[in-house]
Order: sequence, then structure tokens, then C-alpha cells
Amino acid sequence: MNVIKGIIHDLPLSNVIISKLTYQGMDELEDLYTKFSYPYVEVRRHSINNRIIHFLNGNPVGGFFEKETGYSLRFFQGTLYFSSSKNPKELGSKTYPIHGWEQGFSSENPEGGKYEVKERKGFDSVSLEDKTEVFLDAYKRVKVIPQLKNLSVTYIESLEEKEILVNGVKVSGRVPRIGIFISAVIKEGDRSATARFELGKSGGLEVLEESNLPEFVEEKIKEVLKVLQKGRSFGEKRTDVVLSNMLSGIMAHESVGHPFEADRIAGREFAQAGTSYLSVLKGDKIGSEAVNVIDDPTIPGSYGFYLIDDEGVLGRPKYLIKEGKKNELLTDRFSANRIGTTSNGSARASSFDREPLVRMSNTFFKPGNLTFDELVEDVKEGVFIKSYMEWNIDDMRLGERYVGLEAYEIRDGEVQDPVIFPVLEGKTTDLLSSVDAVDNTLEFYPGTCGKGDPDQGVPVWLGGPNMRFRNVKVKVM
Amino acid sequence: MNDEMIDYVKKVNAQDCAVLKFNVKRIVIKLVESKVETVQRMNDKFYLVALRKGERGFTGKLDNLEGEPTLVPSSIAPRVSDNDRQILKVKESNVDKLMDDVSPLLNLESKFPLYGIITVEKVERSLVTSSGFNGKEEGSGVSGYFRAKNGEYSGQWAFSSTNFSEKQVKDAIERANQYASITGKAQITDGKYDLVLSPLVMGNLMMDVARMASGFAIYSGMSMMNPGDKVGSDNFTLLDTPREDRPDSWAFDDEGVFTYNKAIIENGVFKQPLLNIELSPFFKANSTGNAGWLYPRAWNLEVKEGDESVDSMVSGNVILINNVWYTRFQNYVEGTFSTVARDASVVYKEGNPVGIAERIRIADSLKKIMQTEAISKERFSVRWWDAPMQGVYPFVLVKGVKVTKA
Repeated sequence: MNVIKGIIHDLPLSNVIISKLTYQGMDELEDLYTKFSYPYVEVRRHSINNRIIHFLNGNPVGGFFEKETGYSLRFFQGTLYFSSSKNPKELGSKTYPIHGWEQGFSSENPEGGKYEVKERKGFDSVSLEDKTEVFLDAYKRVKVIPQLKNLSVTYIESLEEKEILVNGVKVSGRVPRIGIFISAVIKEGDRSATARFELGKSGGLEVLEESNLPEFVEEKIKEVLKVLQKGRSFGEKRTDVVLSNMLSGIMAHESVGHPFEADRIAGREFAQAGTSYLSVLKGDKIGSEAVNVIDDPTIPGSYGFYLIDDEGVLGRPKYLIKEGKKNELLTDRFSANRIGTTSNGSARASSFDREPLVRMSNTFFKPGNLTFDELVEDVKEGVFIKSYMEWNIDDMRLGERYVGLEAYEIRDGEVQDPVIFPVLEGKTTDLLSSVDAVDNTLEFYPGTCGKGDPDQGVPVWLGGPNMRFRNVKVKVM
Repeated sequence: MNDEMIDYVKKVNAQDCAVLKFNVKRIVIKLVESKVETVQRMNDKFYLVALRKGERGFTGKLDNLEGEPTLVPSSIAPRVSDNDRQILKVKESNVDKLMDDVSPLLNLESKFPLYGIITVEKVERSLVTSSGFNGKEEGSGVSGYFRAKNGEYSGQWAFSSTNFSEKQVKDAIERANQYASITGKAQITDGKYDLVLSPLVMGNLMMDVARMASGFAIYSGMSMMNPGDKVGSDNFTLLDTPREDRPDSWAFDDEGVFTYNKAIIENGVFKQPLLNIELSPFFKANSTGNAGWLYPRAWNLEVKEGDESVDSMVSGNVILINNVWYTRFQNYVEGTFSTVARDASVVYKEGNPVGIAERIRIADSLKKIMQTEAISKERFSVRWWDAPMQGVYPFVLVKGVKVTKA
């Protein structure tokens, strides 16, 4: 959980450097670039350095170290061609006499420059043994709870570096990240739960240190246990629902971010991650006026951070939904050309052997002015869903479902006793139209967003305030 | 053979060391509205290294074998078998021709606009261990999935093979079109229904069953199954088949143990957890040739055929689910999940299709899915974007499955 108060766009770029690069002259990448002369040419050198350690009940059961650097070439010549290899000499430019689906690309001048996230504390500034202590300490805090059957934690230190040469301009990016993915199995009588929680930011080892992992794990395990011990069914009914920051985050990502990807609306992902309700929706209204959704790759410390995209377009905050209405789609150069606009810098590739695609970065519902207490005090009867287990959504991004894990009844304006596994299932447009208020908090959660074939997962943040939904259907499992 | 890897194993001088090398050439053609959207040509060469020195170990993916691996404390350290054989397996396949020229895949005919992917792949896999094992084998594959769009309706089908034939592609496109041609809306409310699940659905769900059959999933408490549990009907058998002529079939595992075909679930009983050497002591058993360092896994899957025709399975009041995606679990211990239907969810009344159900999901347990009432004789070799593991599956009929609608 990463808490940011206030309006996101006013935050200083404190740990971020962006500077203009002088074109570096002949180097390996330029050498490669000059071999190809097509209307659009992009070559990339992309490195991923991951250290992954799995802990089971505090003990390191294994690690996985991944270090790879490779090259890619993408060009447009009647259709799109992509080629990748660890050996730049293997990159092929074989074309076929076909008129493909892509019609061209938006040709705004690419923006050169360098962006870099500086670690305040390097990954290697602390020994592996000392890092391991953090995870052992987390387990020690909860191992006395007999209902906890196991605690798995996956800890990832990642460094992503890329250099891109696109239509003559050079882009360079360097982003270190830390992700912590926690999974616990808890049994109480005939009830059990698989609880999952994630923490993650861009930055160095300070991310782990500032996560307060042992306290976080203890609080979460105890809270889930309380639900298993005392939770009772809320029953099936139409009622008011307050979704937590965590739930609003996943909703922003799944039911707004994805369907606002312009390539998906055009059909490019129809056979993979699917289509969008925007391909059939009449009018611009998606939700109530309380609904504002932003995608912003420039948030300092964010998991989905970048300043220039992989096609050489400056990243910027984008209002996807403004006061309930469709405002702007996520675009790359190719999807922008298709809809007659320019790219808003949303193209990203996960590694050297993946093509850049329209991707979310940090997607969130914009906070409002109410406090959480003010949000709840106006609810006579309802349910507060604080975390979730299962979630999914149909491939049009219209039919969505969330099964609550930590959930509580709201009665007469106060959060009260635990509720066992309420299910919120409905249509995106119905749910977003029922939002009447959001509070003034903003929290982010890390995720890995999948898309494309071959599948590629990119780091993103999902976020939002606590949100109040009026008169929506709650089901039971 | 594999001299560089042999030298590396000697150099690191570990108690156990295994080095795997992959050399992969892959072409991926993406279709949108029956046109080629992208031709992707990807080459990759990488090494996977596992070694153990005392209570410390290393597993990693490297571009080259230069440099020293960073050892970390590991309570389950990688092991290698005492197999010291040499093995070289070269497989003949007409996929090589496609690697040179994909023209036969660029102009595909379809009644409805076609979307999808065709992947052509050639993989060279080598393993050297500190016990003296030295192996190299090749594998080829061609697979594809097609989604045909008929206005607001769609149908999907797939194929997967070690050899290319135009017929495979045509048949898959034709079947996707057949499902897309079923139109009309059928209203469904939350409740229990008899479902006929297609091979694509089985491909998605059996991947999760296989994952829960991994010794590591059981060891770490993230499985609904324990050896000996009755988890399905008597007619339900799920196999791991690395010795069939199928994509992702390999002769040896990542620890140098020879692979073999095995029933994971036999006649409804969870018979065989998938094991590697380091986890086998916890199960008081031998490795099953399914390493995966740390996490044993199935190579490719098969559900045994039954004796029913698909026509007889849809002859009553059922919903035929063409495809699902986005399977997510509420609880791994109980196997409860939901998965979202996509493409043709065909509602049959007294054997006649009366329309397509929209925005439905299966919300039940995996054990319920394996309570198969009937299994088709006809099976299909498939894989697709949300069921990437190679598998051969029939249609299955499962009664009284919980379905919800958003």
C-alpha cells in the first residue's frame, strides 16, 4: 500500500532526472538503426535484471536471478514487423507483399531524452542475510497464530534499463523497482481463506525499509482471521457499498484503464485480452459525475513510472474519465493514427523480445473532498469491502466481479461487524453510475498487467480513494 | 556436445549443478479483421543455471556463462540426478520450412472477420549436470487460435501440433466460424446448470489442476489436493504426457531425470503429485521427472477420452461453453474459483440451440468441474492465449455447476 495525499499532478519529481541527451554518435544502437530505412523505424536495447527470492514461513526456499539484455527492431512497411534477438546482427527485416491491418502511424516528432529513478539506497547496500531478517521478522510476528497455515512471500528487486532510437532520436530510461507479494493460507474451523496482498514502488532498498512489512503482515493476518472467526453472511440484497482504496484501484485498472486502450477498441486485442465496451457504447457517459479516472506515468516512486514512452513520446497525466464522461483514450502512434489523433505516450514493452503496446501506467480514481467518516456516516445500511480475493471481468470489460475478503457491515453510519465474503458483481456502467461520492484519500497497489501475444506483463500501479456506491446488488458466494 | 556448459559445471565446482541452454526461434503472426497486423520474428538464446553449495544455492537465467553466480540461503536447494547418460534427440518436422517462409499462413479464408495468432516455433534444449548427464534435444511446434466475429457474436477455436498441415488451420477456422454463426440472446439468471465444457475451457482449467498437482503447491499449502484424494468422477483421468509426439514433450527434465507419461488423476483419484528430486523426500517418493527446479510442473496435458458424441452431450438442457478466460481463485485450498465465459455460450433446450448467454461466469470449484458426467470420444489438441499449456482435451458434461451473471 502506498499512500499519497493530495492532487497527484502537483507532486515534485524529486527522485527523477529528465534531461536532454546529445545524440551520441556511432554506437551499437545507431549502427543497427542506420541499416533500416522505412517510414517508421524503432530499435531498442532493453535490459532486465531481476532478483527474486521466495520465502515460505520466513525461510528462503529459493531464489531466481534473471539478467538479460537484448535488441529489437520494429518497422512499418505495409504492415508492422517486429524482430528481436540477443545478437543485434540477427535482427531481420524480411517483408512480405501484403497490405496489413495497420494503416500508418502518427508522425509527431519523437522526443529524445533520459529519465532515471535514483535509488536512495542501493539494492546491494545491505547483505542478503540482513534483508532475509525482514521476512523472518514478519513471520515471527504471526507464527503464534495457530490458524495461519502458511505464509509465502515473494520479494523482487528489479532494474529495467532501455535505450531506444526512434526515427533518429534517442531515448534512455532506467527504473529500479521493488515488489513484495504476500500470500497466506488461514483456517478457522470449517472456514478458510487464501489472502493475497501486494506492496511495490519504484526506487531502491528504501522501498523495503519503508514498507513496514512485519507490521503490515501482522495487521492483515489478524484482520482476515477476525473475518473468518466472526464474519456472518450479509445476504443477497440491493444495498449501499463502500469500496476501499484497494478495490477502487483494481476497478480503475480493469473496468476503465483496459477498455480505454485505443488498440483494444479498434480490435487489435480482440483474440487476446479482448475488446471494450467503448466499441459499442453510445454517448460519452460512463458513470456519475463523481467518477474521474486518471492514468499518469509521471508519478514519482510509482511502480508504473516512466517519462518518455517506448515510441519516443512524452508521457503525461491523462484524464480517461472526467466527471463521468469519456475524455481521452490511451494511445500509441499506431492506434492514434487510426482514430485521427496523436499519441499520448502510452506505448511500453516489457522486455527486449516484446513489441511496444498501448499500456496503462498508474491508473486511479481521483480523490474527492470527503473524509472516510463522512463517506460512511451517510450510509444507513451497507457493506464496506476492504480487500478482495477473487476478481475478474469479461473481455468487453463490462461484466465484473469482486469477492470480498476483509469486509464489514455498515449500519447507521458506522463500520461494524465483519461480513463473510460478499460478492459485488455487475455491469461497469451500472456500477460507475451508482457512485455518489469518493473520499479524500489516495492509495496505490502494484500489479503486473498482461496483454499481447506473446504475453507481456508490465508493472503498474492501481489506485483510488474509498468510493461509495448507492443501491447496488450484493450477492453471496 | 555442450562443451561450454561442461566447462562451466567444472568451473563452479558445486555439489549439485545443472545448466540448461535454450535456443529458441519463434515467428508469431497476428491477425486482425482477417488481415496481418504484425509479423514478429523472435530469436532467443539463454542459460538457466541451478547449483548448490552446502545450504546456499543459486538458480537463475543468464545471457552467458561468464561471471560468478550469487549464492543465497536456500532451504530447498537444487539437486541433480545421478543419471550420467548422453542423449541426442533430433526431431524431424516440416515446421522448419515455415520458419523460412510463412507465406502459407498469410492469406487465410474465413466467413466472418478473423482475429488470432499463429505461432511457429523451433526449440533446442540442452542440459549438462554435475553428475555427467549431457543431453540435447529439439522440438518444433505450430499452433494457432482464431476468433471469428459475427457482429456482437463470436466463436473461437485452436490447434496445436508438432507438424504443420493446412487442414489443421482450416478446421480450426471453420469451427470458430460455426460457433460465431450461432446467434440470438438467451436469458440466464444465477443458478446451477448442466454445462458442456469445450476443449478450450478444459485447457484453461486443467492448467490450474496441474499447477495444484505440483509437489511445491502441496508442500506450500496452495493446493486443493493431497495424494489419494478422490477429486473427480470415475471416468475422469488427467495425464502428463511428455513422451507423446506433442509440443513441449521432452525426454529429460531439468535435473537430468528421464521423463515418462503418467496419470496425475486416474479414475477420479489424485494419484501422482508432480515431483523433482529436492521435493521428493517430503513425499517419501521418487522424482517423477517433472523438474522444474524448486517448482515441479507438468510438461503437457491430456484428459482421457470418453465414449460420448458431442451431439448426445448437448441433447438435453445444457449450456455449451465455447471458451473462458480470466480464471481467478477465491481459495486455493478449496479450489473455489470463477472464470468468465467468452465467445459462444450456447443455451440448448431439449437439444436445440436457443441463443447465446451473455456475461456469464462459472463460479464453482475445480473439484466440481472434474465430476464429469460424460466425456466425448472426440478430442482436440489445443492451446491459446489464456491456456498456453499444450493439451489434448475432449468436451465434458458436468451437471449442476454454479453459474452467475453480471
